[in-house]
Amino acid sequence: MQTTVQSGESLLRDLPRQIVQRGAKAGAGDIVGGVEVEKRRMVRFSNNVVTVVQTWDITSPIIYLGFGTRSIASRLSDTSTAAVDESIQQMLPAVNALPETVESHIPRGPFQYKNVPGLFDSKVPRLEAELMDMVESAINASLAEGAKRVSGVLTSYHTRKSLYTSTGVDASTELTMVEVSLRSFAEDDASGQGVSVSTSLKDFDPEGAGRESGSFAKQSLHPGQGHEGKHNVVFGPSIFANLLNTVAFSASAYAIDAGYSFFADKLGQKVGSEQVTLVDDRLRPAGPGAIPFDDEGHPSQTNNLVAKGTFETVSHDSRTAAKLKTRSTGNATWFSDIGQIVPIPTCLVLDEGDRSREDLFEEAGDGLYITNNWYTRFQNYRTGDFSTIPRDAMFLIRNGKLGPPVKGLRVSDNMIHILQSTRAVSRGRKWMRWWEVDIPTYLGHVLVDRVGITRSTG
Amino acid sequence: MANTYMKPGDQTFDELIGDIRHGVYLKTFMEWNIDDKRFNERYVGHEAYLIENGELTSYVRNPVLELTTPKLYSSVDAVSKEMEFDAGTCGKGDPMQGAPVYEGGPSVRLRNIRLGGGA
Repeated sequence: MQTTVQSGESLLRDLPRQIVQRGAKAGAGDIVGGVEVEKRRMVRFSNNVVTVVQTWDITSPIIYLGFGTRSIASRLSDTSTAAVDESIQQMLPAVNALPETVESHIPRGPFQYKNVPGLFDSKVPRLEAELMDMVESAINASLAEGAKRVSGVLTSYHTRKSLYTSTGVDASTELTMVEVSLRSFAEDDASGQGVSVSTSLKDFDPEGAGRESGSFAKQSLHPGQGHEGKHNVVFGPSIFANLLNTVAFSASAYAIDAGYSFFADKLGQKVGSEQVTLVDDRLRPAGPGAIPFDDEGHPSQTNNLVAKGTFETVSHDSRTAAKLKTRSTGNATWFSDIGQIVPIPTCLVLDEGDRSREDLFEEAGDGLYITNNWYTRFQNYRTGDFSTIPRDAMFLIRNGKLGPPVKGLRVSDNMIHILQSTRAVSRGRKWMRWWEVDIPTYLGHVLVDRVGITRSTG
Repeated sequence: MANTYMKPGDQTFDELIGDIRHGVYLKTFMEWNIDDKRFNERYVGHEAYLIENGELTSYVRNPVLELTTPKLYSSVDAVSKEMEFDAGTCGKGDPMQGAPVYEGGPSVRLRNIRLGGGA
């Protein structure tokens, strides 16, 4: 067997075509050949000093084979044609073992893709020592606000992606992103988080993230024990982005089909208050997560997932669309958690309101301000019952003003209730993405009435 | 901690529940989380049964165990000698890495624990 190893531009141009040729020879009717080339540079830091600097060069060929009523996809780390051949030979018996579903076909191209401005910044791939300077500026800004210890991670991404299909798609794109997430401590139980995410350097603000993180840490000194009950809660962008990620996943036809959605059977119904409009805007200029085409070559769209509280769009790829007799929404995405191409929103935007954060405190009257969280886990995916743990800065709201810091509480509620009880959304949005926010989300602060808050019983 | 479990005791499972007049057996759980100091933790039973006079009787829906770590471990008064394990993956990062873990251990009896749910 002859094997060819390629690199650089020829890899991006030729390998997808070679995958399609080999897939056709294997008898597949619909074939997608793709390749993603990513350079990732990461600087980790803890206790105010850089601890790890690492660079990854990740090249990932993607193979999709469709046989009408069955399909299979695979992502490789080897770019040789021999590896492609071997993978296809392994995929054939696997796809034949799958149960048949409704017949579906990948989108028929060619397509004219929209030019989405601001997704690539030529300065980002060249960042090297500057990344260390950015980390230093973030740490120093946090310390200047009163933090004693600062830790986190700053990462730059440069991704080139090309796609070729048996149905006439020939697409390529180049994307950049740079992000920092840091956590500052003023004492062991006084911490704050700061995040900055951008596709370009001009909107990237590590110093601002450091300031925010350090300021929250300082304000959180000497927290008291919070109380369980039903509280009006102002959610900061980080925690609410985490919750909206679960909303986006629930809007996926894959999640609905698999029984993992609290939106099942709710299309066209009110699932939230009038204040909630959540868009999957894959065409958003300079949007982290935006991209002109999906992993089947379908042009990306701007989809209203929830519009003024109504569940308006189920995210589809061609397979789920055929099953539900509708059209793809251009959301086919390789989902590494399950090793398949499934429909997933990738660029979330929450409509902004006209109030400031302080206006929301005033409207809340008495309640809580929660800035960050981790460990959102569902008790029941279908009903949306869940809990999540606030971490870092959390405060009482008293008489409409920011009050003293508190700790030891848990949000234990239901996602439909959260959406339906959303009373107000602030103006002044920012992009969020970090460990607990996988899908980049653009949002501000959000006031939700009577949120379930619990604490340990002993 | 890839392979951490509680040391087994000397009772069978039947002996463990045999002298419980009124209790709950949490066999598996669904929702769970823990704070970053590993102090406050919560588990919501998935497959769970009522224990009445030493017997498993009816199914219990979504019992919530929400307590501190010291309370959990100080409430243990018996541990079974049988152990069960499953293979699992623990997420580590950043960036995300899946660490293989071996998870399980013996059945554990806690006394005078409050089960609840909701706010």
